[in-house]
Amino acid sequence: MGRQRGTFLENYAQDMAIIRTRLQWAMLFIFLLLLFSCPLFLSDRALTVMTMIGIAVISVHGLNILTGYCGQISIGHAGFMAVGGYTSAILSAKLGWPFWATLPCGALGAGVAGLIFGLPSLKIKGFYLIMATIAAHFIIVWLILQLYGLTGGGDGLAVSRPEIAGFTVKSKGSYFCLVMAFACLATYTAQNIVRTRAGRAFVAIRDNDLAAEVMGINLWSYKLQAFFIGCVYAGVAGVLLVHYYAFASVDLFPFMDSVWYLGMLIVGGMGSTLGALFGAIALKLLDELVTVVGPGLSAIVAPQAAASMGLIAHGLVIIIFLIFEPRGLAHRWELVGAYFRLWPFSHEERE
Amino acid sequence: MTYFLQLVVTGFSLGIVYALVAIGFVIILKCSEVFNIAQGHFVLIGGYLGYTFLVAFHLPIWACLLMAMATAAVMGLLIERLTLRPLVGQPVLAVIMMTIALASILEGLATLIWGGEYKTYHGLLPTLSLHIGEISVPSESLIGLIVSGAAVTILMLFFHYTKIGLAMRATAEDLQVVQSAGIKATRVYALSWVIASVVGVIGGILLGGVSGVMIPLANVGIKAFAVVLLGGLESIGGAIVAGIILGILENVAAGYLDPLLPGGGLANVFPFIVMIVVLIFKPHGLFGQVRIERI
Amino acid sequence: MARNKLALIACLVIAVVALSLFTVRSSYAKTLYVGGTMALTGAYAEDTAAVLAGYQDYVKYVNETKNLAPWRNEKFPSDISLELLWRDDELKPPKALSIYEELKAKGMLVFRCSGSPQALALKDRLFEDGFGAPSMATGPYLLTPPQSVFTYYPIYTDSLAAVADWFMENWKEKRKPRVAYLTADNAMGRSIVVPELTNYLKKVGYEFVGTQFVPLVPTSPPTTQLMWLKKKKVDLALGVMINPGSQPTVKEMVRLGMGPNQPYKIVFGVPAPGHTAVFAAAMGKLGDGYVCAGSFPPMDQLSIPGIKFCNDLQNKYHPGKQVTHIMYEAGIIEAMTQTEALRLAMQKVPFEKLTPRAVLENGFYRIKGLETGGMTSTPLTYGKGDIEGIDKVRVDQVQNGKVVKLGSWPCRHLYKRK
Repeated sequence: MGRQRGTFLENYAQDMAIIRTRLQWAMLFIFLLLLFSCPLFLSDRALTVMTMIGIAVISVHGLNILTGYCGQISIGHAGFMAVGGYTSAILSAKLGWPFWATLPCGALGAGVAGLIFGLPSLKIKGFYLIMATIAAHFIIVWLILQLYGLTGGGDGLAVSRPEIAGFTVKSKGSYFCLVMAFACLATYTAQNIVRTRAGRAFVAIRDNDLAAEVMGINLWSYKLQAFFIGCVYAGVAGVLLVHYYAFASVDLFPFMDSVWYLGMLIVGGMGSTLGALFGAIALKLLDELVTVVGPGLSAIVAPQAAASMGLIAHGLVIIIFLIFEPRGLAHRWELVGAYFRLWPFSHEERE
Repeated sequence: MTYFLQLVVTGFSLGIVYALVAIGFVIILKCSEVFNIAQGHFVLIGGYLGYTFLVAFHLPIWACLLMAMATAAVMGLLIERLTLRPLVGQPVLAVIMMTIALASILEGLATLIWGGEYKTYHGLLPTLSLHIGEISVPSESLIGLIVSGAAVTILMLFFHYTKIGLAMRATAEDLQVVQSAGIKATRVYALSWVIASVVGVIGGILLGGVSGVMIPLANVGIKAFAVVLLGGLESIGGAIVAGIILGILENVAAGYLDPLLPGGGLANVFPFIVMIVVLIFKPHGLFGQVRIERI
Repeated sequence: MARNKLALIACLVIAVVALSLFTVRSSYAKTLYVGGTMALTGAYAEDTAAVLAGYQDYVKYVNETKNLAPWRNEKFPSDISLELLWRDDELKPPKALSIYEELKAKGMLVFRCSGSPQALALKDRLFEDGFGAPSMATGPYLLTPPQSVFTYYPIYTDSLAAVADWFMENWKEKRKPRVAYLTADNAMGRSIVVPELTNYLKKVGYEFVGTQFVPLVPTSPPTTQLMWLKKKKVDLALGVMINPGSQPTVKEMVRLGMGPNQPYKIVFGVPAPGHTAVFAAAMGKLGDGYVCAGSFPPMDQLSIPGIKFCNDLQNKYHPGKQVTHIMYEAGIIEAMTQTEALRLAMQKVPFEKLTPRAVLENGFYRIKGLETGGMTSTPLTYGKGDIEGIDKVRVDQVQNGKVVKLGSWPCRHLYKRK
């Protein structure tokens, strides 16, 4: 990792620090200040979009730990979000629990669901595991529809707006702040989880599971840990999503969302916290772009062009990244950063 | 008893369709170790092609089949050359994401060209009807049986007796040996995509004749994955047996259990439940090869 | 080098998108917006495309002539022009939400919901912000407060009650007729599986058998479900289905020898999204006996003023490219309702002071007896708590490959939760 010249790391703590210089601290502070003052100067629409991005970021961080670091590919992430969302919705709608109590329960519920569907991962990997997680998504959605008395089935379940310390988070601005607080927390914890013993074990399992086992890494325990952690993130995202709509419905968690979460990882860069961040932002903005230019395009080309363009654009972006930049936006960001650090004495990097 | 038998017969006909979709999947997997998530979308394109040639162009059924197969072959070639070739040697996830992206693009193209509308060509496919006592056998399943039977026979002969077929099997076994023997692996890959896309398109024309064509038709691909897992990833025969088993199981289970469940709809998830069970207890399926890994 | 350029382009694109997000466009003087979210992707794509065409033509018509319909004398204010705003929500509630915020920020005063998932997700928000919105999804959930989503055909439970009424009137046998639900496996289809409808059916003398679900768009014929109906000796099957679901279902019924003209007598009835006009065009005589309630008159009955209006609009604005789908009428009706609400609101509140709530309270709530030229079963009447615009249900049947109107039955207003 490059750093400003003249920065010397003199002890272990300094070496391990994520934020090293005063300048970085100042920039972080300004960024957070700007982020949380967004409701003061942004339109409702921008806040809605950014809230959605925030929720996606939390979810993708979970998927990044599970898939990007531990190599356990999951296309059932939206299903686990549904478990979290519904757990919280049921607790608050049926039992009247407050938000601060339902949120951890929702996260835990999703984590446990992740453990259950992660069990096959002990025997299988690669394509087999993908299939197991796809199956998980459909089974979860089906179960939600079955438990009519509890979940409201296809009618869905109305949920109250979260209330924290007597303050109802009702306006777009306040909910935006809530989501952003969780997104920042998620980014911070994600960055640190992967630097722990468990995080290093995940990477070893991803790179070669047999070798990892020989090295003394307990595959059984660490794979399940990865599933649990990844799904807890999904659960938190699901809870936030459900409370944002004030309504739980299986339609909030479509199967294709799981696929696009993986797409976000590809675009942002696998196995990088920054990548998860970039990917979620980039694909969500692409989504917005498609919606905005849709009507114009359909007036020029054909009525259905608006509908098809979203699908084609998403597919193309992923194909382009897979072929030309498989390491994602995060890698590109580092290269650009390195270029400016070395400027003006840089020269074109060779590949 | 009649009810049970009818459920079995219907399940059988459903299974044939699953099998037909699964065959295409297995062929690509066998030859190039690519898990083609977009196989269901080949079916979708097939259904729309069937509509175009049968209804819009008023072609007879044989001409429609030929034209659709030709289009499918071109599509398969293009897909392999443009998207999969650059990814040879990349990790599993990259390849799978590529086929997912492909699925998305094919869906988008289908929406663009055919408007995502519900298109039907009821009664344009030749119909055979068969009644055994009170049980009626769907004509589509008879046609499906004939088509998939023919497809499997042709493929079996192709893999056993033609040079390129043997090359394809060899490529599946060991890429390096094949390359040193002077066989062009890229040609094998391209051919496997062509075959898979042709098989998928034929399945699509059949399915489109039964229930019409619409974008969600592509979901049949997801169910076919369960078939492939049950049958074993590398076995074409296994795919057919598993397709039929799964079709029957799904239908019988739904027929008897659905009324007991508050929400019903068991047929939709049943393949996935089977899938999880198979993955836990027999991850290599009924006829798959057990792989031994080395560091 | 090339890659760096690529990255630069990518960054530029992202920057442009971000900019477009953060700039709030000020609304131009004297323009009012109609429209809302459209679900051009997914299962309702075909219906929504026709609705969109209806909106486009109606907006052009009002702007050119300032008339509201050929059979009406009121004029739209001549200094104000209408503009259609719409976005494709791909049938995803999260997208519908961001579209709603975007259009609201642009100064929209009315809205529309596309499918059931969107209506469910937007309902509370629309009410909170005081938006009135016509919707083509008419599940009973719209009746649970808060209510500001308006329908122009009966909600699904009331439609099916009308089918049940019609069937009962023609029931000749001594025994009680046996009824079952055969419905789509999604929010729309499941919305009829409620005690209110079941109790009504039992009250009018049916024996209720049970429920079977069919995928919204089945990839294989629902043989299992139909076999079950046969086994349980069901006489009337009721369900909410769109055409991609009902066509294969009826086709399979015929194959299994089930139907009004088949050895095993059974009638299959659906509410509006399974329009007979679309159905008959695709199925021909194969679909004889299929019943649909709450739908619109077929697009070829030019003797009806509303249909003639639709036809004239199409000939004027896109000759040769006729939209034959029946939901074109729905688009005209929706646009007409929105325009009428805006017009009525402007009678009480000056243009500059219009807010969504003002349009809801002085516009939508004051729509009484809005004449639709025979497109809806009765003229539309809305009010506080009265979101079902009509009070009669039209019932159609396919006979000899043609749509035949069986008559109109009173709207029962079954669903009264809370």
